[in-house]
Amino acid sequence: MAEVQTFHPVTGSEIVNTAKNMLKEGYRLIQICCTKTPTEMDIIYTFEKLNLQCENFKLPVNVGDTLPSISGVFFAAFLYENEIHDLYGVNFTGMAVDFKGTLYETAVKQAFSMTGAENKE
Amino acid sequence: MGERTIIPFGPQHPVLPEPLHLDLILEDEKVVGAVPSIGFVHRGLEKLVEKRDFHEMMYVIERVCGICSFIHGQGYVQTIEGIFGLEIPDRAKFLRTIWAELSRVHSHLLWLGLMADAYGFESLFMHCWRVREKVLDIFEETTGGRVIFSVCKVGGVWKDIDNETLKRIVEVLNVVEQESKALTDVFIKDFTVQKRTRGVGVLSYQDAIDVGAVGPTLRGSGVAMDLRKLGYAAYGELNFEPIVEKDGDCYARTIVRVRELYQSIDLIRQCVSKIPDGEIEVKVKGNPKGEYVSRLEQPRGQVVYYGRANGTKYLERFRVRTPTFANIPALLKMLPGADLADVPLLALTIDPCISCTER
Repeated sequence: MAEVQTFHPVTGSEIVNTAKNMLKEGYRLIQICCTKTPTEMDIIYTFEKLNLQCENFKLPVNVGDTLPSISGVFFAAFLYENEIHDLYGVNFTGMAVDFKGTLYETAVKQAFSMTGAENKE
Repeated sequence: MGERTIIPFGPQHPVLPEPLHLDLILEDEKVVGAVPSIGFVHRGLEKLVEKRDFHEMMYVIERVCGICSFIHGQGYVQTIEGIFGLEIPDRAKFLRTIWAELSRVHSHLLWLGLMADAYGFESLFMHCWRVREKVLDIFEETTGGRVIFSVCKVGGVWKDIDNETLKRIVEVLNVVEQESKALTDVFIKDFTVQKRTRGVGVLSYQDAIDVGAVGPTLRGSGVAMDLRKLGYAAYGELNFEPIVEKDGDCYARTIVRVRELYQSIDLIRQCVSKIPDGEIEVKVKGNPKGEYVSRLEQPRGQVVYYGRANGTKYLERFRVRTPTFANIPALLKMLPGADLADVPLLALTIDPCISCTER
């Protein structure tokens, strides 16, 4: 049976402290995912405990926004953040490794920042 | 301190069937750091959700990878079923589990072959792949495909396997098990293999957790974490425990895969003995609306899917976080301290799949 999932709201100014709290509680980062629809754009942070318990956080964002990196708390975050920068045009400060837009050298810059509806236009 | 040099490793390298690049920072012959580069063949498959309806998208997601194709399809339909809140019939759950575990058997045999090739054991490589062919034959017989199966659907599976065929699958797997024993003994006992793998590329228990390592890379460092214990598909009704090795080196990661190969055969036997009769699908009405995070255990490790739907036939987003993507930071932790000559073998022990990573 599908598990009931909650996406806790979080803001850009809270995300580093949230990550620190999750670390303190024994969670680790398993993914960061950006999603853009015609009406909204969010970043989903997913954390997981060794007992497989999972928590999701949702951070509303816009193209061109700058967020603090959580790679100082969870080293692995740098790959996800570089990916989101290259595909969605969201900037991160303080990444453990900053590829400066060269992780994905796509033909169309920030290719995922346009939704299907905008593409058709 | 020796003089520091930077040596490019990849993206084209004999040990890598797909492009991954590492800038290796060396002091004499010792690696002291590494910077990875991916993105050479990024395909943007996730973006296709905006143009393929949610039923058709299953066939796109299967093509994220040619080795884990079934489990990608399974993860996709599980995510959509999670959004619908759909419960599929028990027989479909067992069939999915059987195909998923067959995928693990063939993936681990494929990896063992590649590992043998990296040592220079050409005959061992060929024997591993010869045994693997028997598993591909089972896929062909039960699904019609050897690489892409297209048997998963939202609400269940497209094809059933009759009970006679299930018994025959177990007989074939008995032969696979017997023939694999002679091969895996080389990986476990051979002096030269141990010389190349023991104490090489050590990832500590805490580092494995901190950097988000997954799958055999994580369990090879002593962390008993296996997403199958969530009980998705039919795993909740099977008796098994995560395979764990404690040393965290290339040898430990190899042994985890060797033991998982036999564990998967055992899980298939359990499935065949417990599979109930009944329907293999439920009807799906309407379009999905909502969001869901789904987690599964692929042969290479944990895979995470995120789906968001708005009530139309097109999803707004489908995200795949593949095991290799999660294991790249772990690779960066393993490399410092290794000899330059060990890097190809070491990189291979995370079982990198760039096709998955460049979805």
